[in-house]
Amino acid sequence: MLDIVFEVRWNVNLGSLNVIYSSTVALKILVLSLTFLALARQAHAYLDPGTGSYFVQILIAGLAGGGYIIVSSWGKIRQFLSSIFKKEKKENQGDEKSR
Amino acid sequence: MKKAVNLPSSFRDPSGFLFINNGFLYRQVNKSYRLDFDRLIGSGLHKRLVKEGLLVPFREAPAALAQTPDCYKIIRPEPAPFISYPYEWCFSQLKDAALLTLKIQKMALEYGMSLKDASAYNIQFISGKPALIDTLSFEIYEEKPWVAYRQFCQHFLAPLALAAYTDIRLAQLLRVHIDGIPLDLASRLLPVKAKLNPQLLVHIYLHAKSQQMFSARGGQGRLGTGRGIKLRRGQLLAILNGLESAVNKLAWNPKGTEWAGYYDKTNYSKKAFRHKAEVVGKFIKKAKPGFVWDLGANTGEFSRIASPKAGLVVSSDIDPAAVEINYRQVKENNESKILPLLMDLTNPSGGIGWGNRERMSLAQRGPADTVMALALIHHLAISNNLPFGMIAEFFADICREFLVIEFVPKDDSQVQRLLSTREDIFPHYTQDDFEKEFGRLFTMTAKEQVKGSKRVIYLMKKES
Repeated sequence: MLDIVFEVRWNVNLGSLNVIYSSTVALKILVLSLTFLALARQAHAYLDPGTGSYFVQILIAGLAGGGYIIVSSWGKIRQFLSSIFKKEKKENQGDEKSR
Repeated sequence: MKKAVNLPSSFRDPSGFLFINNGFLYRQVNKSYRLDFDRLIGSGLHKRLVKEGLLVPFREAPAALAQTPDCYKIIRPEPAPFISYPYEWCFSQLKDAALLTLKIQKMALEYGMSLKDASAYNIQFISGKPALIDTLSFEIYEEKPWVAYRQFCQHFLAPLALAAYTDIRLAQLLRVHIDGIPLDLASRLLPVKAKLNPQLLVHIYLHAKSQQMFSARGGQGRLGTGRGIKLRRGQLLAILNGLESAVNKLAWNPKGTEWAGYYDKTNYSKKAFRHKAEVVGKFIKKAKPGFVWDLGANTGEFSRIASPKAGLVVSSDIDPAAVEINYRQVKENNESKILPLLMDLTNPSGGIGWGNRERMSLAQRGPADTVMALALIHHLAISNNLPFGMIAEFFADICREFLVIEFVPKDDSQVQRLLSTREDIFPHYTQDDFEKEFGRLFTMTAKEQVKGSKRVIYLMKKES
């Protein structure tokens, strides 16, 4: 599950649908990994804990990046949401008319 | 190949090492570090760091000094006049060293380089200001997580957070943990309210959890080696800015400690204080010291009397509040010749690290030309039960030529304060015994009673 974090490619230039999709995925991953971290047990540090330090940086970047994507593409997200909403409204209207 | 002595503090870095030849300090740059070294110089980063006083300068030295066949270059860095360690710094010194490290890292990124170490031991206080002394700390930047992030958190962020949130004395954990305070330990020692600080929550608590988790996983999977993981420059900068704001917000203010109000409580009249200053000034002038250790310096009042006539005064005290006040004065007045340090003389810094030689003991960093020990003898002899003979031996060990020492008699109110809580088992605490014991190792050159008190100041010359 943790490896998925690195498969997610942040890209603001993606279509609005993708942006929302990756933000939701990221949010889920973040919540899951935070839970995972919180549950991590004490272990004897035989290995250099450098990997853990790398991971935390990626995590912070993800947190900050997630926030950034949401803020910077807020316009697109709104547009996307309202387009869905309008479509539904139109469709609903259509339905009413046909009755 | 010439034989020289390698410094036991620089064995870790494969990029090169320090050695001493004919009394001069050199650094060998290995061939494996060639590309990084050339980039450091070629990019203009080195020039800028030196110009801004953030990195010690170096001169190129003859290649004939090469110590091993894989030598690329020999450089002669400007040596720090006195090496001090993070467990000897006050809060603000450690904080300034942390901020300097981040500043250098951010500057390095502008030039396409990155710090590969963030060791507090690479920072030294030179002319009153922190500076990086390791020219080989830079590597060519690749878009990956910061390799020195863990070290930064352990060497700087954890001790600063512990000092600010829990207790100033916890910074002393750096003496035990030579590579910085383990983050799981810091997490356990920090109070719950530290978790409310989002930066500490991430860089200390979460960081520690993450370390534990990955050490349990045994380094399996893509993350195992840490290779191929990307972190963009902007993301790294965001992390660095976060660390910077976290360090900036950590604060510790001296109050309520032993010495903070010492000068108000002593039995010195203004006149006596002025006279004492006059006598000390006169004795220092006679001693003509280059290098002075002012032991038990408090906030450095007398260090400041000595400094105009000396090259450098190491102004040490046992009290973190006094050292903090002393350092703040150094900063405020841009004083270049005073180095305030935290030092418990009854248990001074020992040789630590590999073979007990990686970090030097106090005595190894001596001797000083002149040692000052004002209003100190009663603390050593009465609070710590040290016989005069042993105190004289220690001073003779760390002093090359002169000792300026104040004798505080038993009926002095400060000594009475020390005796008020303990039995007087000190029949030999007399001026005669003091002179007799010190007379075995020193010659009394001058002696003067402080007007308006019973205290006596001596200028003693070490017998050769």
